[in-house]
Amino acid sequence: MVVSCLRIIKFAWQDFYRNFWLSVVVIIVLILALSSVNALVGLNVLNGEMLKILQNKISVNVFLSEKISAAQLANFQNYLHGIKEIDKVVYVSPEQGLSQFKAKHKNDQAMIDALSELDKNPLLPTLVLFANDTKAFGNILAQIDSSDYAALVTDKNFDDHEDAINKINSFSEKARVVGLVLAAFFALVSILLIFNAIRIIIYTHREEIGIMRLVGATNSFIRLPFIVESIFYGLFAVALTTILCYGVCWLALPYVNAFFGSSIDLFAYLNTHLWKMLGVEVAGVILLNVVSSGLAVARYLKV
Amino acid sequence: MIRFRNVTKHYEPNVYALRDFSLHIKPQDFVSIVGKSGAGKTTLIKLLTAEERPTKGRIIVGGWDITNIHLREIPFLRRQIGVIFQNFMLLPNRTAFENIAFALQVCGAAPHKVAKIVPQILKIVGLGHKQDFYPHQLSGGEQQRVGIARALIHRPKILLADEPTGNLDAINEQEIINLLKKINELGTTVILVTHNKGIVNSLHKRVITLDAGELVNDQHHGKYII
Ligand SMILES: Nc1ncnc2c1ncn2[C@@H]1O[C@H](COP(=O)(O)OP(=O)(O)O)[C@@H](O)[C@H]1O
Ligand SMILES: [Mg+2]
Repeated sequence: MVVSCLRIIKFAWQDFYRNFWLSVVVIIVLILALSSVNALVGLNVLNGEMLKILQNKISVNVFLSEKISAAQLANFQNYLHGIKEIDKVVYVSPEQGLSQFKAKHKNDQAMIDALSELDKNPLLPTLVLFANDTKAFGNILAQIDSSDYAALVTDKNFDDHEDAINKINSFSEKARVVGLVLAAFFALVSILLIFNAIRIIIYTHREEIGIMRLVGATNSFIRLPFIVESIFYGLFAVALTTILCYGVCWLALPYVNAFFGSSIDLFAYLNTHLWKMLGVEVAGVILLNVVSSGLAVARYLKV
Repeated sequence: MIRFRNVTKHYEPNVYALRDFSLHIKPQDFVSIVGKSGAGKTTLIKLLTAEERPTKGRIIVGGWDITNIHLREIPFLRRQIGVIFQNFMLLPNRTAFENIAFALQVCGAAPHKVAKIVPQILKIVGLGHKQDFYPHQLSGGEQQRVGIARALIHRPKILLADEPTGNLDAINEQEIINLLKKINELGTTVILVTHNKGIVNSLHKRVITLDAGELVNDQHHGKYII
C-alpha cells in the first residue's frame, strides 16, 4: 500500500517534469488566478485601513466664545463627555490653534506675513469632537444647541470627509467586481488547461496504460498519478504566488506608506494571515485541479 | 480450468465473432487454436481476460464465473492469466529488466521482491545475460521471451499466446514454442493461437479449429486441418 502510494507520487512527479513546459504554462495560469484573488483581498485590506484613517479624521469643530472661563470650559467638556455618541473631545486653545495653523502653512509666505500683520490672535478657543459613527454628528450638534451651553458656542463647522469615503467605497466596489471577474476568468482557463494537459499526458502514456491493464494494475493505480500531478501543479502555483505576493508587498510598501502618510505593517498582516491564506488557497486550488483532472481521466481513461 | 458455455459474442452492427461456442479445457492442458483470420480467435482471448464481455453464455475460469465480473475484480483476474502477443507489447524506452519489473511494480510489489523475482524469471526464459538491453537491441525471439517473462511474473495458472510467433523466423519460432512447452510442463495451462501448420502438427496436442465464430473441429492429438 505504502509502496503503491510512493510509486503513484513518483509517476506523477516524472510526468510533471517530463512535460516541463506544459506544467509551466498550467502553473502560470494558476498563479494569475490566485494573484487575482490575492489582489482582491489586498484591496479590501487597504480599503479598510483607508476608511479607518478617514473615520478618525472626521470631526466637528465647536468654536467657543473668547470670554469663556476655565470653569465654564470644564463644565462644558464634562457635559460633552456625557453624550454617549461622542468618542473623544480635544480642547485646542487659541495659542495651540495658531501654532498648528502656522505649522500647516509654513510654506505659504503670504499667509505668514498676513498673520504677523495682526496684533492679536484671531483664533477662538475650540473643542474638537470625534464620534464613533459619522452619522451621529447631526444628533450631537442638536443636543448641544438645546443645552445650557449653547450660549458659549459662537460657531460650529463640519470637517467633511463623507465625500471621500463614498468615493473610496465606490472605487473599491468597482475594483472588487473587476477582480472577481478576472479571478473567475483565470479559474475557468485553468480548468480547461488542466483538463487538456492531463488529456495530452494520458495520450502520451497510452502504451504504458495498456500494459498496466494487461498485467493487472488496479484502476486507481492507473488513474491516480494523473490526479496527483494536477495537485503538484496546485502546490507549485500556491508556493510561487505566495512568494510573488510578498515581493509585490515589499515593492509597494513605500508607496502605500507615502499615500497613507503613516507606516502600515503589511508584512505583519501577511505573517499573521499566512497560514489561513495558504490553507484556503491550497484547498481551493486542489479542489479545482482535482475536479479538472478527474474529468479528463474519467473522459479519456476508460477502464 | 476454463469453460465456455454456449458463448456468443456479437459486435455491432452484425458480426458474430463467436457463436454458441462451448469448450472445456482441463488444468495443465496445452491447447492450440487455429482458424482463418477473422474466425474469432483473438475474441476468445479477450473474453478470457475480460477485455470483452460475452453477449450470451457463461465463461468460467478456475471455478470463477467471470461472465459478469465487476470492474474492480478484473485486475485480479489478469494477475492470474498471462498473455503474450504477436507484437510483443514491450515498452521501447525500458530495458528487458525494467519491462518485466514494471509489471510487478504497478501491482504494488515491494522493491526487494522485484529485485529478487525479475532475475529468476529472466533466467527461466534464458535472457539473464541481456537484462539491460532495450527492446530494439534484442532479436524478435528475445523480445518475445521478455514478453513471456512478463506474462509469467505473477505466476499465473494460465498463459494465453495470441499468435506469439507471427513476427518470427522459423528458428526463433521453434525456440518460443519449446519455451511454451517447458512452461506447460511446469504446470501452467497454455492456450496457443497460431497459423503455423507445422508447429501444430509437431506438438501432438489438442487442436481446436474455429471458423466464423463456430467450433468446427476438436481433436485431442490433433492435426491442422483447414
Ligand atoms: N471491436 C470490434 N468491433 C467490431 N468487430 C470486431 C471487433 N473485434 C473483432 N471484430 C470482428 O470479429 C471477428 C473476429 O475477430 P477476431 O477474434 O479478431 O479474429 P481472429 O481469429 O483473426 O483473431 C472479425 O470479423 C472482426 O472483424
Ligand atoms: Mg487475431
